[in-house]
Amino acid sequence: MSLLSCGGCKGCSANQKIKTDGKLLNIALVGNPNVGKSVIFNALTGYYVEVSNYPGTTVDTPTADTSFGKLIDTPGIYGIGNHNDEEIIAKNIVLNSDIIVNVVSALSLERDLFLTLQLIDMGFPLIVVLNQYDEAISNGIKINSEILEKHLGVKVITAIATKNQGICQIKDFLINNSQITSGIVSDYLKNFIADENLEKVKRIEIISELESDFDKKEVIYSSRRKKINKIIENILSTKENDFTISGYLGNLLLNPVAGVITAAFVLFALYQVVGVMVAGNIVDFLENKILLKYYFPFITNIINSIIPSGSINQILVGEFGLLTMTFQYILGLLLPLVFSFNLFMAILEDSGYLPRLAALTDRFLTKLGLNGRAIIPLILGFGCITMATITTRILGSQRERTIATAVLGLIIPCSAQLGLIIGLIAIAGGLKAWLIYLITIFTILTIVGTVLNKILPGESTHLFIDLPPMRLPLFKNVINKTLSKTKHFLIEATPLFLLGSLFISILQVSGSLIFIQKALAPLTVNLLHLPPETANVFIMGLIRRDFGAAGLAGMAGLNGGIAVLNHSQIIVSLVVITLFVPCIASVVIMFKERGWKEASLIWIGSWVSAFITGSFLSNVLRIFM
Amino acid sequence: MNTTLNELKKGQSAKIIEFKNPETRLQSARFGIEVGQVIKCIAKLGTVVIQKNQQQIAIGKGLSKEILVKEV
Ligand SMILES: Nc1nc2c(ncn2[C@@H]2O[C@H](COP(=O)(O)OP(=O)(O)O)[C@@H](O)[C@H]2O)c(=O)[nH]1
Ligand SMILES: [Mg+2]
Repeated sequence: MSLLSCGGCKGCSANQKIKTDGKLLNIALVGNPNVGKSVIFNALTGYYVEVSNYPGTTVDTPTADTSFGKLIDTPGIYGIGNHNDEEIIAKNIVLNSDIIVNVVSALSLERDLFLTLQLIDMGFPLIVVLNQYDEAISNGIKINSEILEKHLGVKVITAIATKNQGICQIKDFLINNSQITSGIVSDYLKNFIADENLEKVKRIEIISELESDFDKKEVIYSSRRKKINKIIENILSTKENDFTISGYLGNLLLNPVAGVITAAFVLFALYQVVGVMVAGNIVDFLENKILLKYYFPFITNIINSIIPSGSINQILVGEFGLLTMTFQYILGLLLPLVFSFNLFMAILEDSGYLPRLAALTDRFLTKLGLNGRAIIPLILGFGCITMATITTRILGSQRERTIATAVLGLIIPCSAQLGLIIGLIAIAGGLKAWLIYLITIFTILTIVGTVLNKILPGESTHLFIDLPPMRLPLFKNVINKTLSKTKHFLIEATPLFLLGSLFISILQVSGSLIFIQKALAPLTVNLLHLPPETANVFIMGLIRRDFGAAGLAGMAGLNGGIAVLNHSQIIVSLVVITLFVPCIASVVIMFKERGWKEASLIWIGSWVSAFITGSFLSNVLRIFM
Repeated sequence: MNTTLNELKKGQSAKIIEFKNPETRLQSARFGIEVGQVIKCIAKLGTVVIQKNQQQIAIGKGLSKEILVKEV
């Protein structure tokens, strides 16, 4: 077997067989998660890639026009079916494809061939890319791809995508696509499909039908596995397992002690990068050195020269102006935060760390009616609640999505807020303040999760995930992922920010803002023992949480203001602002994701929990501090 | 002797005897895990992590209680 990388690809278009009336062929990259689809996609397409969210989901489906057809990357799936968003999307893409490039990992061929056989059974013209062959070799696995070809009846190309090996061969096959065949349909289907030459669409229909019938599906699945076992016996040889760093690291991370230490370290690094470096230094630079210095005077001058004063002027360039504050929030604050956060997450994701973290936290999360998978939206929540709320879609049941959304809405502070919280806690007395704050928030988290778990009907799903090997993330892959996530977040969030600012500007211009501030004052003074001005902070927090936290920072004397809050008052108001309602953007997303009933309950619940906890804490602290 | 997957200790190997939950059986088939195969428990965190060849799968406690195995 030759694994040499080739120089230039041959590229001749004489042998094109499969054609669709002058249009580009649709070619889909299909495979299990983490087998290298995206790396291969990038290698085949270069930079001109259109990444789009599949309508109504967070699932990315990059496409690119190439000389050999329109190439589409699909989300990782273990089989074609309707188990989850990913499968439904992949299925739709597959159904519209002329050719399928099925990527399998040499490291987990037994698992991956299930999808391969399913695709072959459905009659698609197919080539198989046997990727990650380097990892197989270092694990002592040898695979005879020629025999595999004979069993499957399709071309098998061995590849190491990260070293660009095998890519040219794939390209050549896609260009001279007359050699791409449909494979040998399995014997076990003969009992179900009488006519061997059934056309593609019919055949897919029949198979989908069969697989929606539980008993027939069982028969097919177990026959398919038998066939795979036979193939594997014939093509695969293993030596005694060699030691690999990836294997050692992967297992170490599953050790409770090492796992917890690593998790703490990762969170600390996240906090240093996103919380301190980006939220602090970079945001500060963008806001103070660029936006406030150059952009604000510039835009305010222009608007003032056209509309010197009045409501419109206020709405455009006033305190909450669409062209001032909103612009500042989106570009100065959110863009760097979301980008850096997504970058961090992409690295964690590509390294194979996240699924291990999910396994590690599964037990605790089960007590809250969630399972380990929920760790992903929860961590994302520390970056941005809006982004995280959308990600709750990956959870297995409605009740889990409800619980996760509630926890996000009620408890998790977003990165914009986190930076300010950290600064304020430093003022309020360091370690002691940290402990009081963390214990309070953690207690509320446990109470909310446990109570919802008790009262919500139905049952939560259990963790059942595949742990990919630990790998060194690939720079290009990570950057691509980060850019596409960031772009989609901005597209989704910007209109909401504009609406939110418009709303509060109108409140201000119409004089309602002052009125609400007065109405809230008794709550803050009597219940929380805070000065009356704190009401302003909560109003601001209604719009954006970090907005509220920024207001608090002023009252605590953080940025040169006069301190009007004492230490325990700072802690109380921090707890309240953390538990208080999520920002308008996340509330809107909450309504969209969970429906108005649930979303309003969560919204009202956050008022109640914030003020009850704050009042309780304030009384306790008055006794002890 | 037959036990359930959650009873295995770290490092122990066992043969899968039965999936009591049919959904789990099908999902396992997709992962490449089926009745008769030998797996090894590589971590116990309440949640069980099993390994078969190079593949590792994390299974929540609730599910692991429904998977019958026989120590080997
Ligand atoms: N060692 C090795 N790693 C690879 C190879 N192909 C992909 N990877 C890595 O496998 C991980 C998953 O790749 P990705 O393309 O994101 O997989 P996808 O989920 O199928 O799109 C990344 O960390 C890649 O760098 C390969 O041939 N050899
Ligand atoms: Mg991918």
